[in-house]
Amino acid sequence: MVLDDLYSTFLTLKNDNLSFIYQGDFSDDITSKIINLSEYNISNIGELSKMKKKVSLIMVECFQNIIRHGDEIDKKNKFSTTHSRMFIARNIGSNHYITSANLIENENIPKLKEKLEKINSLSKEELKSLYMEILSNEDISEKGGAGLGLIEMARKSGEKLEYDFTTFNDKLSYFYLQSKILGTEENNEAQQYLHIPISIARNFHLKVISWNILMVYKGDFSQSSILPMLKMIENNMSNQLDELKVKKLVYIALVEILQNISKHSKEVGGFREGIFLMGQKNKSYVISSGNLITNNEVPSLKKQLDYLNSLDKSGLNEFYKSTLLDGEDTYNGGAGLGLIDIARESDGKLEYNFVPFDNNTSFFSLIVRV
Amino acid sequence: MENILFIEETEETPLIKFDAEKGLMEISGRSLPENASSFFEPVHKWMSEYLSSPAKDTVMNLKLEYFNSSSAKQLMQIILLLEQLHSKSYNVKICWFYSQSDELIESRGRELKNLVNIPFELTQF
Repeated sequence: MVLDDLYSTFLTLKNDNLSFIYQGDFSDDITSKIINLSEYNISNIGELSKMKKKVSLIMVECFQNIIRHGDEIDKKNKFSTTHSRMFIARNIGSNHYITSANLIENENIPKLKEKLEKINSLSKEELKSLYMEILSNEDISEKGGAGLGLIEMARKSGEKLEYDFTTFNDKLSYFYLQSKILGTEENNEAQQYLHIPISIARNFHLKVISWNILMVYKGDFSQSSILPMLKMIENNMSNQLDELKVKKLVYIALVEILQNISKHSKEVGGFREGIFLMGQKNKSYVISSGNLITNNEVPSLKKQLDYLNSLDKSGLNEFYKSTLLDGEDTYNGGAGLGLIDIARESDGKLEYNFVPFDNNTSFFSLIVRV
Repeated sequence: MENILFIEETEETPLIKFDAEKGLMEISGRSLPENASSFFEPVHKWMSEYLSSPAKDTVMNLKLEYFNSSSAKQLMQIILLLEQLHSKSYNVKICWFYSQSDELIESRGRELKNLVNIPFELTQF
């Protein structure tokens, strides 16, 4: 992953109020944090609580689908499909899109397709009676695979379920499933982006796999959004066999980077917006952030970054200590220490650039490798 | 000054338990607030009042799992206040705890220890 990839991802998601892409472990704890995160963001843009509830319920079904399909394959084929499990939530205007990706066995595709087509052919009332019928029929609900989850998603969404299959090998395929919840707002500027085809989610999945992305988040970066994200990453990492020191370093770098976005991002309509992307390559983690800053801040930030990059590790440690002892607190509680801390914990130099975004602002991207 | 300063631990802020009579202070847990100076404000206030009538012996136990850079600055300020007390010939000791194999917190403690002239113990738990 390089700096340009971050910017191109930002541009793809430019109109999103919230975008969240997650790959990896889907335990109950993590799924509840994802729901917290999305609920926080939804309530922030002043939407109806009814919609919030629908989105959360669809997410839950989505996670359960991912876990159920994945676990089945893991058990049968004795290999981990964790890295193929992906979840996307996007909010554009008043519309929500929820997409999952996971591996399924090729031999199960025809049956699944049949189920999905049937669900999509039914009216609201027909879906309800099918739901009740399956619910009361104990024989088929045994494995939880009677399609109740899919029916529930279709009912909550009120729209057709979109799906796609991409061959992985002669035994397995990726299964993509997308539900949408359309808002009621009309003449919304975002209505032109009303339809996000499922192919876009598939493209994201390909990127997620090739860059080994663990998480992408675009949205508000206040502390209430940062905390659930930290928790998720912490849990996701604890399920892997990294040593404690690496985990701690990653965590420290994450905190500084996320809070840096919150502090320095230009505020637009009460939001401190930015994008955050975290990936893993071999044994090291790639943590990157991007946010808009006003053009007049660019020179001093650039100077600061260049200075940090000119120092070696011991120079950075000295600079850290002298800044720590310097009693002056910089504006809004920041200590000016954050960037120094990031620099001294990173493996190699800080990578950054500034791309002109419009007349007054630039997109600032930063990549740190730990 | 209240004899006891107690602030409960949260997901992002540490436990604060200061006892003026015993001269015993503890900061433990995670300290990740975005604006650490406002979180630590009551702590500084309490400390500066404590300095005017301190106990004979003062022990500060620091048992942190994580702290952000904004909190590092606040911790430093607290340690510097204790250094003042030490320079007035009071018994002052800082105990920095780190869990086994937590090299990062250990090295952060060592770094702080080297910055001040005050008894500073690093203890593995």
